[in-house]
Amino acid sequence: MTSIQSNISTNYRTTFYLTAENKALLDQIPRGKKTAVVNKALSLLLKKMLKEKDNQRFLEMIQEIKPVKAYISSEDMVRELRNG
Amino acid sequence: MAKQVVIDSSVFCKLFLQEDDRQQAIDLIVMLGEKDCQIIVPSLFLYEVLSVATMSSYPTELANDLLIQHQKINLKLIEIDNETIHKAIEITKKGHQNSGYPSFYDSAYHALAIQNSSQFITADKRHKAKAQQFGYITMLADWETIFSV
Repeated sequence: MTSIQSNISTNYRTTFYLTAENKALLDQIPRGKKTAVVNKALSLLLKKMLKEKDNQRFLEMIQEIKPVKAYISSEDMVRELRNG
Repeated sequence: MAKQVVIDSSVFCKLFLQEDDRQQAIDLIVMLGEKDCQIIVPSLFLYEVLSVATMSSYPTELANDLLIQHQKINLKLIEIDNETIHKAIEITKKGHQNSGYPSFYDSAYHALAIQNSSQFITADKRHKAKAQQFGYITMLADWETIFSV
């Protein structure tokens, strides 16, 4: 169970269960630094998860592409654009 | 190992164009994502990719969706700064009578790579012939070499 309560405008108080392993690890962090450590760990992991999800979607989009055959190569099309 | 590269818009366009080296472009872009290597490009990249989509009758909306998704991962559009512009101008002046002079557009991509000590990956042999003396340029066919340095 998780409850979230707004503390000040940019911080939130929350309650959640830790595994025994994570509790033991967190106990090694000095008082006053635990919140920062948990936030940093969460931030790193959540950003990594979101990036993996975005990357997976990008790969799916590439696989879904039905490529078209153009009258000239992509290099020549870009050259046409650049030469006006 | 490369942590940042510049790719030519024509390389990205190969994702939606049926060309002989399309798979090389796919392999490169997928590998750059897997290696967490950032792709930096001048902001004109966006206009060039969407223009090529239009010219080739590939749905521009789909090309735009692909660009948006790519930017969530490792594609970063950059407004080139004054130092990069000066480097690009320098490149445009160092052509050869036979091979011609590099365009400012090609040189802007190349200068961005030079200024960031990265590699400009292109499939355009003509620009390489004109500006290879500046280094920092890799042909698409040789893209795997950027991970072996």
